[in-house]
Amino acid sequence: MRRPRGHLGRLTAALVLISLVPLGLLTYLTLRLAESAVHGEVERKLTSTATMSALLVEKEMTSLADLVGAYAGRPALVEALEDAEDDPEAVTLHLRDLRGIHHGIFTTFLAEPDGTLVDISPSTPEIVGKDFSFRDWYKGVTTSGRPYISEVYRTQARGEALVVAAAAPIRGPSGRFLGILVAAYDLDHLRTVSAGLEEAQDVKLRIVDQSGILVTSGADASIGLESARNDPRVRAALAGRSGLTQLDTDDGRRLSAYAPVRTIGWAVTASVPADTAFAAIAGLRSTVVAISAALGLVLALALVFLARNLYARRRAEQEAQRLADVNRAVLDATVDGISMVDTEGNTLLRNTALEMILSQIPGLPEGGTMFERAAAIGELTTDPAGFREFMASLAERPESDGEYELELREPKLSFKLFSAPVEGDGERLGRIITVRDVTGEHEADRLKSEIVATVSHELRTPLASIVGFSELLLTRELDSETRGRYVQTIYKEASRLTLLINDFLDLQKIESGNFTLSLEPFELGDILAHQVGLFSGQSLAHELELESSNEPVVVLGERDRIEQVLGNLLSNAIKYSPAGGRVRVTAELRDDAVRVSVRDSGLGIPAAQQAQIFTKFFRVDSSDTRKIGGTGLGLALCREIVEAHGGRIGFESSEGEGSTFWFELPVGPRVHDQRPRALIVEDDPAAASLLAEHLKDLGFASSTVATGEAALELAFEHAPALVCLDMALAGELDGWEVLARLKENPVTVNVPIVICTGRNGRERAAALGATAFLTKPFSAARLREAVKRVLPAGGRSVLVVDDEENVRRLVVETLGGNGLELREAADGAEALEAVALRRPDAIVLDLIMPGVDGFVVLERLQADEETRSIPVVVLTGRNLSPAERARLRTGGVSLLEKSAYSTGELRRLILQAVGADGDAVEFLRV
Amino acid sequence: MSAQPTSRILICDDEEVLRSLVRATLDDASYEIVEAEDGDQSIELARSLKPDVILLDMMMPGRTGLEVLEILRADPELSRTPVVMLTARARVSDRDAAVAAGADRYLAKPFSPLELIGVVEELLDSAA
Repeated sequence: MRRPRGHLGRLTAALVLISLVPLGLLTYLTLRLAESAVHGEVERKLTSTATMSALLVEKEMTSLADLVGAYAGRPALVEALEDAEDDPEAVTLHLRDLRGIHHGIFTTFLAEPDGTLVDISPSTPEIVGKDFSFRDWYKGVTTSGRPYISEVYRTQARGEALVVAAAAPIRGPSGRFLGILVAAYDLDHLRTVSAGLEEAQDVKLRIVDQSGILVTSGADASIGLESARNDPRVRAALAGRSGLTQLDTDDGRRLSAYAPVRTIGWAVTASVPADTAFAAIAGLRSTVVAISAALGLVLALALVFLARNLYARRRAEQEAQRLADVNRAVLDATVDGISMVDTEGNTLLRNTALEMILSQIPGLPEGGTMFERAAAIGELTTDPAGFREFMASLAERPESDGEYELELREPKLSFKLFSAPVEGDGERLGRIITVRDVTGEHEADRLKSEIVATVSHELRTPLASIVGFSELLLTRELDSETRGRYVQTIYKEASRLTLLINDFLDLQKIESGNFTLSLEPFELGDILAHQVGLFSGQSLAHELELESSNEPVVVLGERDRIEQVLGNLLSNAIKYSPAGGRVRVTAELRDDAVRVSVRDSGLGIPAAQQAQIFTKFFRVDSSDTRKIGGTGLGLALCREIVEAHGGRIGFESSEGEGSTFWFELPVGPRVHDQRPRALIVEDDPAAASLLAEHLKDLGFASSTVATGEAALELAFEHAPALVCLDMALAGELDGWEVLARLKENPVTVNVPIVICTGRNGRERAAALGATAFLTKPFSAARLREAVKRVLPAGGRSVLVVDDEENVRRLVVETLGGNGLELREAADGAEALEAVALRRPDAIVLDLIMPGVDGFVVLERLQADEETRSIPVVVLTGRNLSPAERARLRTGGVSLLEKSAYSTGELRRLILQAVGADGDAVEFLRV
Repeated sequence: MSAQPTSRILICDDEEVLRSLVRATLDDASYEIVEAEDGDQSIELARSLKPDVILLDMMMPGRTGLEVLEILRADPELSRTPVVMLTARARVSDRDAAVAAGADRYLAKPFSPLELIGVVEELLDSAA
C-alpha cells in the first residue's frame, strides 16, 4: 500500500503546485498592476502639482513683474520722473498707487539708474538717498534691462520677513534709462497660496529662487535664507528640467516631482513620503497577499482533503478489490461448485469448480435463471420429479435451507446440492448453492461393495463345494469310487481356494504399500526357459515356443515375482486357447527395457471387455470362457508386480484370433557378461527348456531356435561356443543339413556340435563333424560329460580386472577359446560389483589401479565367506615390497609379473584354478 | 417311496462344481436334475421343462439370478414355481432383494446339502 500513498502524495503536491502557482502569479500581477497604477497616479499628481505650482508661482511672479513693468512704463511716471524736480509728489503718488494695487506689495520705491533710492512708499526718509545698487534686483534689472524678480532676501522694513523685489527699468521716450521701479513683495502671500496647494494636493511644496534659496516650504514661515542648492531635485529644476525622483531625505524616503519656473529662473518641488504615497499599495498588497494566501491555503487544504479522500477511496477500493480477489481465490480453490443467485435466481457469482461441473452437463442453457437451468438439469436426472419438487421448495420458501442428492443418467454423475439463503442488512439477497460432485464417492462405495461381494462370492463358491462334499462324505454311505471323486473335488476346490487367497493376499499386500521387492540382477533368459519348460508339460494340445534374444539380458528384479508374472501369462495363454495351438514366448531388447511377450492363438478378448482386463476379479465372459476357471486376480497381480518393478504391462487382442500379453522390465546394469553362448536348435520347447537349464548349470547362456534356418542365421552372425542340435526340426532344413552347413562355414567350422536326438546316426554325425552324440532321453550328467569333453573349461567364469584395456584384451585373448566365460572390470569397484553379481570361478587381478586397488579387492574377497575361496591370479608390473608380498600371501593367490609371465603360464594357472584340467587345483604360492 | 413321482429340479449355476454338488446332494431316484449354465439357458429350460423346483445362483455372468427370477415371475406359467436362491452373497440386503424378487427360499453358500434337501422337499410338499 506504500506505492499508491507515495503516488497520491506526489499527485497532491502537483495539484497544489498547479493551482497555487497561477494564484501566486495572479497575486503578483495584480500587485504589480495596482502598484504601477498607484505609482502612476501618485506621480501624475506630484508632477501636476509641481507643474501647477510652478505655473502658479510663475504667474504670480510674472504678473508682479509685469505689474511693476507696466507701472514703470506709465508715461505719467516717466513724465513725472523727467520732471521730478517739478513735481516730486507725482512720483510718490505713483509709488503709493503701485503699493496699493497688489496685496503682496508692501513697499515700492524708485531708484536712480545708479541705485540710489529716490523715493519710497510708505515714506521712509531715512533710507532715501542710500545706494541700493548692491541689491540683486538692481543687478538683475541693469543686466537684463527688463522687469526682474529678485532673489529672496530678508527685510527689516517688514520685520525680517522673506521678500522678493520685482524691479523694472523706467525708460524715457528716447529710451533713456531713467531709473528703476521696485516693488517689494512679501512672500507670505505666495506661502499662503503654496500652503493651500499643499493642503489641497496633500504634498509638500517647496519653491526656491534662482540662487537656490528656499522661498517657501509649505506653510512654514520660519524658514530663513536657507539654500537648497544641494538638493538634486532643486539643481535639476534650476537647470530647467522637470521630472520625478525618489530619494532619501531628512524626512525619510520621499517621492518628488520637480519643475522649473522658467521665466523667473525659480524652481518648485512637490514631494510626498514614499510610504504614504504607496500606503495604498502597501494596503492593497497586504490585502491581496492576505486574500491570496487565504485562497491558497483554502485551495491547498481542499486539494489535500480531496487527495486524502481520493486516497482513502482508492485504498477502500483496493481493499475491496483485494478482498474480492481473496474471496474469488478461496471460491476457486474450493473443490465444491459454488454459485450465488439473487432472489430471482439470476447468477451473481460462480466459482471455477461450478463452471467445471456445469461444463460436464450437456445441453444446458447458457444464460437464464437458476430455475431455468435446474429445469434443464432435472430432465437429465434419474428422478426428475424429485428434483422438480426440491427446486419448487426452494422457490416457495426462499428463507429455508435445502439439500438434495441427484444422479445424472448421462453422463453418469452424482451431485449433492446444498442451498442456503443469504441475507445482508436484514434483506434477502438470494441464495448460495453448493454443488458437490459425489460421483467418485459413489463409485468408490459401489466398487467397494462390489469387491466385497466378489470376494465373498469367490471365496464362498469353492467353500460351498468343500463344505457340501465333506458333508456328503460324512453323512452318506458312499462307494469308494464316489468317495474318491468327492475327495478329489474337495482337494481341487481347496487348492483353488488356497490359490485365490494367496493371490488376494498378494494383491492386498501390494496395494496397501507393504510390499517390498528384493531386487537382484538376474538373467531373464533363465526364467523364460524355466517357465516355458514348466508349462510345456501341462497340455498336450499346446505347443510352447521360446524365442529369446542372442544377448543375455540382465534385469534387476525379484526373480520369483517375475516368474509369477510370466507363469500367470503362460497359464492364461493356455487356458484361453482351449483348442490348443501355439503359445509363443519372445523376449526382445528395446532401448532400456526388455519386452517379454506371450502370444496365443486362442479365444481373444472381446473389444468391449478389453478395458477391464486388469481389473480385479474380472474374467472375460463369454460362452467359451465360462468353463475356464481362475481367480480373476492374476492379471491385476501381474500389473502390480510389473509396475512395482518400474515396468509396464499391456496386451493386444482380437476376439477369436488370440491375444498377446506383454510386459516390459527396465534392463539392469549392463555387465560385461561374456558367458559362452550355447545355441540350442530344438523344436520341442520342453526339451529346449530342459537343455537350457542344464547348460545354464554348466555356465552357458543359451539361445533357442526351433528351425534350422534360424539356427544358421544366428550361428553365422556370431559363432556360438557350442551348438546343441536336434535332428528333427520345425522348418524346411533338418538337423543333418544344419550340421553340414555349420561345418562348411569358416565362421562355425570349429564350433563343437553336440547332437541331441531321438534317432540313430552316430556314425553319420561323427562323419559330418559332430563332436558328441546324445540319444534322447539323456540325463543331465550325460550332457555335462559331453560338454566337458568338448569344452573342458566350458562355462567357467573368469573375471579379468585391470585398468589398462590392452592388458585386459591380452588376457581375454590368451584365455579365449576354452569355453570360459570372460568378464572384465576396469577397476576394483567394478570388480567387486561383478563378483557380487555373480561369483566368478577365478580372478585375474591387477594390483595398481585408481580408486579401489587390487589390495583392497583382495581384502574384501578375503573378508567374505562366499568369495574367500575364489582363486586369484595377481598380474602385476610392479616390483612388490616384502610387506606387499606378505599381504598377498594370505589366500589362494598366484603372482605373475607382467614383464615375465608367459601366456601359456597364465592359461595353465587359470585352467587349473577353474578345475578344467581335471586335476586337483594346485596353487602356486608366492 | 418308489411310488413317489419324480420331481424335476432345475439347477442354474455357472460353476460346474456347484452343479455337481447339487447333483450329488439330490442323487436320488426321486429327483431328476436338469442343469443350466447361465441365466438365458435356465429361462429356456424352465419354460420348456416346467421344473418343480428351481435352484438359482444369484451371481452369474450375463443375466444375474435376480434378473432371471424376475423374468420367471413375470411368466404366468412359471410365476408359482418355487425358486431357491443360492448365493455367495451373504448380506441381508441380498436376501431382501431375493425375497422381494419373489424367491421362496434363500440359501447362502456354503450351504449344507442336508439343508438343501430339506428346503427342496419342503417346497415340493407345500406345492403338492
